[in-house]
Amino acid sequence: MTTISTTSVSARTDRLYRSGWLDGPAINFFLEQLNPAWSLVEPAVRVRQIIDETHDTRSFVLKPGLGFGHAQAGQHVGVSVEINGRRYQRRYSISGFPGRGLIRITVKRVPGGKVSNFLHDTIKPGDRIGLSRPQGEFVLPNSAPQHLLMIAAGSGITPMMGQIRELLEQGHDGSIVLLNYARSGDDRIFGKDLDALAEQHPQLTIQWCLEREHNERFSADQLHQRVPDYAQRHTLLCGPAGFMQLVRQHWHEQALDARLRFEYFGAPQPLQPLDRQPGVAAHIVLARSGKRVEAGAGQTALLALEAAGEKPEYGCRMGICQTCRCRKVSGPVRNLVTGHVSHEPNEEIQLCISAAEDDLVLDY
Amino acid sequence: MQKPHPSRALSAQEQDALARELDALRDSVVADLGERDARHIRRIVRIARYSALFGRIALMFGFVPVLWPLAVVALGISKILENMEIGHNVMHGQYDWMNDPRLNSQTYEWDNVGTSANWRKTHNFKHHTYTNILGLDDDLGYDVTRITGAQRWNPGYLLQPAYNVVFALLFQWGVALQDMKLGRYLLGRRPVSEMIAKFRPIVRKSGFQLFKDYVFFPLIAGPSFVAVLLGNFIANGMRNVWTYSIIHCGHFPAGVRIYTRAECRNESRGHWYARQMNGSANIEGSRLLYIMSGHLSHQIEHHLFPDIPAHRYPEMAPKVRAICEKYGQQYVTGSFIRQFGSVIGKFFLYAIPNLQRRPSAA
Repeated sequence: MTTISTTSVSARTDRLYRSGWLDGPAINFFLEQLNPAWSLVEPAVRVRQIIDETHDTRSFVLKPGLGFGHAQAGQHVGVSVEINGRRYQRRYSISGFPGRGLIRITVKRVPGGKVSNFLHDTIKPGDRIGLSRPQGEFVLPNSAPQHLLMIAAGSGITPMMGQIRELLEQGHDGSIVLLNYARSGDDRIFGKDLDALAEQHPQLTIQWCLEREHNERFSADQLHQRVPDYAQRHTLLCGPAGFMQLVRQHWHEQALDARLRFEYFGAPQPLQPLDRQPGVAAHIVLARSGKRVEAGAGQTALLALEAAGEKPEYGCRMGICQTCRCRKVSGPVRNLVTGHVSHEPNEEIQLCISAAEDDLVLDY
Repeated sequence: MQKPHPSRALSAQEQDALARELDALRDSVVADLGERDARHIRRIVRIARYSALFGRIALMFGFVPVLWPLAVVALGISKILENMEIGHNVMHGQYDWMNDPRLNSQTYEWDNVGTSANWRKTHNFKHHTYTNILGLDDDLGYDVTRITGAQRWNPGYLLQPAYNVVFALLFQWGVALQDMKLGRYLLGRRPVSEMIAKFRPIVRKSGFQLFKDYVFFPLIAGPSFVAVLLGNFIANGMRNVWTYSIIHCGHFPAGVRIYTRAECRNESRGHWYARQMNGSANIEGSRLLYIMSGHLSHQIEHHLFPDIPAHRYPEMAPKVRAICEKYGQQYVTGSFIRQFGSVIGKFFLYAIPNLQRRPSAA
């Protein structure tokens, strides 16, 4: 798993923005007034084109500005939109490079999802969305292994689409098997593109595993039947967390962990859920040190951190002074003053009035 | 002896009920935050930035008649908006819900010689948590003014009406140095090495501010060097005097209550709320005054809800006032002239030692 930088721009740009001597915020303000894509905080770039991929999945072609850096197939970008005054940020895999200086992301509607539904329902070509620099380690090695197996489920195909295209364009001649799980024939993201690629490139084999039509799900037997030589292949895996746990478990049992690379959407999951001692309601992972801290039910995150020997800054301890503000990377917290529970990733919380409802990751 | 305060003492149950009503008011506004609030703060940011741009450029052409005073006023207004409606409010976390890195309470740095980090400590934490508690709230007279008979008198206070004029002109330096508590070092109670360490960020920040206003912009103006330097000096002075006046109307006018440490030991949320109500005073005026004061015209609402976007205070005020009346708590408000006049009256009143009153006069 990759650590996610909390800034949307390069370290140098961020330093310029924070520079007192050059008055970075003033420079940034006027740059943004001239062109929102020149922002030192988070460039807002135009959506060039929107493509319907399936009934619930759309691709968005974007033109990143200067300072975006070099993106590799398999990496992801932060996309932010403003909904009713609030900025929401999500990360989406880059699903391709449809032209010079262009990138494509592919977004599946998540039922009840704030950002995915907003992108589908409200964003039109020509609108601007916030775009942060590419990140992520789920990229092909410099010299790609000869024989590859790619396992994708649902929108897990998005990082692999770009990788497959890149491999074929570079003239990769080893065999590539794509084991692609979808709910039904209508849910095949990039179905036509992939089939067309397979027709042009005999070294690419695409195996669609359709749940509704053929009742086909991942299992050891199914894998043996579909890809008998899977143990000899370097494998890339991306899909929903539950699906990935099953596949990883199987590779783990075969002692093949070293041959498997994977990418989670959102926070990484341990292979085995953590055992919780009695009285422990949640674990709080401190992203900067990697330390894990236990939190009791209803215990404030501030108390939990202090009990673990951490010394977070604090002031009033009653939710007024904001001294203990901290960025929550992921996980649900309850605001003990209002009782409101928030699952929003990447949001600011006050440690002194926030209790972990479940496992949390804090940018601490 | 002090006169008994007109607000009635609340029982523990009443305190809890008061807290519930104010929490409910707070929740209703928090639930409604959105587009409107984002538009408001961004509009103020735009006005402040463009007004500064106009001011700074026009100052360089200060030789054109009438342009120079216009430019000074534009720059002064920009600095006031930036410090009051933007800086102060953003640093309170009023716009953190927007999740906009430009308006983040922890990273915002304001156009003031004081560092934001020091301000967050002296103001957001100490002043807002321990509002009007003698000995805990350093904002009670800012360690230089005797604002209540409960402060011990010394002969230096005889001069306070005079030195407050200087303090008003240099108010940003008072803000910058407040957390230093220089007296401790001068008396040798604390090591000088600590003083130097605490000074460093202040020197860096104020150095930048001075460089910007008195070296960089005057220099690039070339022949208009003096016009720009003088203009920047007056604009900073305008901002200093204005913020000084508004802030002194917040907690010092007649009728505002001062607390002792003993009264606030283990206080409930309801008691904290009641203390904020009784320890703050509002200023009545126009919307323009509200915005130019960063809505500190609504000091009572601000102290009850320091992290709610300040432009919401005027619409919350009638509800807060009704709650105050229901619980028999006073709500001190008045025009700017009246409130500030009352503060100046106190400068004179408390410059001299307390006049002894007979206990029966209470």
